[in-house]
Amino acid sequence: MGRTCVEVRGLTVSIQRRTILEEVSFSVCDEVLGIAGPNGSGKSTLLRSIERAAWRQNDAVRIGDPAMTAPRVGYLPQGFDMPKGMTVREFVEYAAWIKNSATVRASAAEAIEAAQLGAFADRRLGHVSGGVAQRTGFASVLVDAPDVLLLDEPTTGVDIHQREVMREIIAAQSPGRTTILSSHIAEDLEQLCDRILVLVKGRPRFLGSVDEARAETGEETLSGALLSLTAGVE
Amino acid sequence: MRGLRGLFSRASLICLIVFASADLLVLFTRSTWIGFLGYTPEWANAGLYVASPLIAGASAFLTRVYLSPELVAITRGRGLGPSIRTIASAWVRMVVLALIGHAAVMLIALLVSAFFGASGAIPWAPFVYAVMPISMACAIGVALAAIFPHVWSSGLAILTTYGLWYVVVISDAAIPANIGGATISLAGLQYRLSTLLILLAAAAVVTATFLTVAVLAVRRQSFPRSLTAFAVACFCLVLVGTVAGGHTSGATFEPSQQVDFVCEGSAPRICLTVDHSARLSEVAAAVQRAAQPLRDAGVDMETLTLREGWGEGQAHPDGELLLGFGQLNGIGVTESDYAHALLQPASCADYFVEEPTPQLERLFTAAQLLAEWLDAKRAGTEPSLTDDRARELYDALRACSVDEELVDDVDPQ
Repeated sequence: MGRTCVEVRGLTVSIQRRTILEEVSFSVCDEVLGIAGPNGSGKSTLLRSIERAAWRQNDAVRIGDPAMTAPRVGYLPQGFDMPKGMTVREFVEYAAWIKNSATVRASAAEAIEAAQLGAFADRRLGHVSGGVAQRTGFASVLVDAPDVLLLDEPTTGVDIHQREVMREIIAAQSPGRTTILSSHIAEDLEQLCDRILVLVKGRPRFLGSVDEARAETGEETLSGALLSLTAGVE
Repeated sequence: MRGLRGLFSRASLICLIVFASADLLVLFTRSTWIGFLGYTPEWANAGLYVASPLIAGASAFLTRVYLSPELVAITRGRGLGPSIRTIASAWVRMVVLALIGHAAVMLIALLVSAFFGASGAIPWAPFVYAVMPISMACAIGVALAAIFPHVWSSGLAILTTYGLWYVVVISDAAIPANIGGATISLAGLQYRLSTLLILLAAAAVVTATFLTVAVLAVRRQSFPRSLTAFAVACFCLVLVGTVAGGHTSGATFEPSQQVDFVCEGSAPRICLTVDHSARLSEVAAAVQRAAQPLRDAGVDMETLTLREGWGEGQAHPDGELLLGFGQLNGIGVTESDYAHALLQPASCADYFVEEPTPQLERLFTAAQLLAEWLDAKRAGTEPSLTDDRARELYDALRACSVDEELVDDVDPQ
C-alpha cells in the first residue's frame, strides 16, 4: 500500500449560515489521527468533508498525491441502519459488489475475517447486536482495501467487550494506512492514535500527541487533558 | 445479482402481499374475462393502474435503508459505478418483487380461466405491457427514497405515482402506465405491435430518467438539486407520455389479419371465433331455446346469424347480430341474456348517430317491448303483446323502421 496523505488547509464549513468548522488545518500521513471535542464541535462534519473530498472537488482538502490515481477512502459513519433481511456475509458481499471489487467473495471473506465476524457471518442483520452491526459496517468499508480510513465514533454505543474488539480490529487495520477517527472516549484515542486534534466550536484547539496534550495541560490522564482543553464549553 | 440478496425480508413479503391483494381485487371486479385465455392476461393487467403506485410506495419504503446517506457512504467507491450499481440493484430488487406479485395474480387469473373451460391462445403482449408501469413505479419509488431516505417517502411515492398516472390519463397522453383492462371485445383483434414498441420505449425513457435522478441524488447528496431533478423527471413522464400518445392514437389493438369462425345451428346460426368456441354447442342450444317464441310467432329466423364482434370500428353487416365479447359465451349468462341478444337483428344507421333520433328511440322501445314479451313467454305468464304484434315489431326492427303507431298504442308491463 502506497503512502497516502490527507491534507486539510483552512477548511471552513457553514450550514445554513452557521459556521460548523472554521479554518481547520492539519496533515496526516500513514498514521492514526484522533479527532476529539465536545458534542457539536464539528467532528462528524470534518470527517464527512474529508470523505466528500474524495469524490467531489474541495480545494481545502487534498487526499493522496495528485500524480497517483484517486485514492480509496473508506468511511464508517456514526449510527446507521442496515437491511435487516440480509446476513452479515450477504451485506459485506453486496458492499464489495457495489464497490466493484474484482473478487467479491474473496474480498468479502477477507474483510469479514479482518472484522472478526466469522462466527456471525450467516446471521441476519436484524438479529445481531449493535457491536456486530458496527463491525459489519467496518468490514464493508474494508472490502476494497481503502488507502484512507475515516471512522466516526466507531466504538460509541457498544458494550465494553465489543469496544475492546473494535479497538483491536482498528489497530490491526491501521498500519500502512492513514486513519482519522473521531471519538468521545479517551481510551480509544489513547490506545489507537498517534496524534489527536481537539476541536472546540469548530475551531482547532490542540493538535499533537497524547503525551503532548497531557504535558500542555498538566493533567495526568488524557481524559483530564481533554476536559481541560475543552473547559468552559457546554 | 448480489443486490437481490435479502430480497425476501418480512417487510418485503408484507409489501408483496399488499401489492398482490390490490392487484387481485381489481381482477375480480369483473368476470367477463373468465374462460377466455386471449383476454384473461389483458384484464389481469387492469389492476396495475391501482397497484403500481403501491409498489412505488413499497420501493421507497424497502430501499430507503440501502439509499440512506450513511449506507451509501459506507458502500461508496471510486467513480460513478458504485452509485449506478446501488440504484440499479435497488430498482431491480423491487421490479423482481413486483413481477413476482403480478405473476402470481396472472397465474391465478389463468388458472381460474382454465378451470372454467378456457379456450384460445394466451397472447404474449400483456406480459410485456405489465413490465411498463411496474418498472416506472419502482423507478419513481427508488428516486424518492434516494432523495428523502425516510419512511414517509413511501407515502409520497404512492401519491406522486397516482398523481402522475392520473395526469397522464386525463391529458390523453398515453399511457405506458394505463395498460390492460380493455372492456371491448377482443374477438378478431390482436395487439398492435407498433403501439407496444412505442409505449415500451416511452416507459424505458421514463424509467431511465427517474433512475438517473436517483443516481444523482445518491451521488451528489444535494437535496434541492435532487428535488429539482425529480420535478423535471415528472414533467418528462407527462411529456414522453404525450409524445408517445400522439404516435399511437391510443390504439392498443388492431383487427387480426385472419379471424376464423366456427358456426353451429340454424335459425339463428351462431358463429364464434375459434379461440372462443369452447362452449359453442351449449350457447347454440341456449339461443335456439330463446328464439323458440319468436319462431312460434312466425318470425323468419332462417337468415339470421349471431356472430362474435370484430371489435369497434368494424362494419356490422345486415343479417348478422354482432355479439359483445362474452355476451353469450362467458360465465354467468342467463336465459334472459340469450333472448335479449336476439333483439338487434340489423345494423341500423340510427344506432351509430351522434344525437339520438326519434327513430332510435322507437327502435329501443320496440326492443324493450319484445324483451318483455320474451321474458313473459319464458316465464309462462301472459305477455302484453300478441304474437302477431311481436312478429311485426321484430320485422320492423330488422327493417330499421319502427312506425310510431306500432309502439305508441302498446301498454308496456
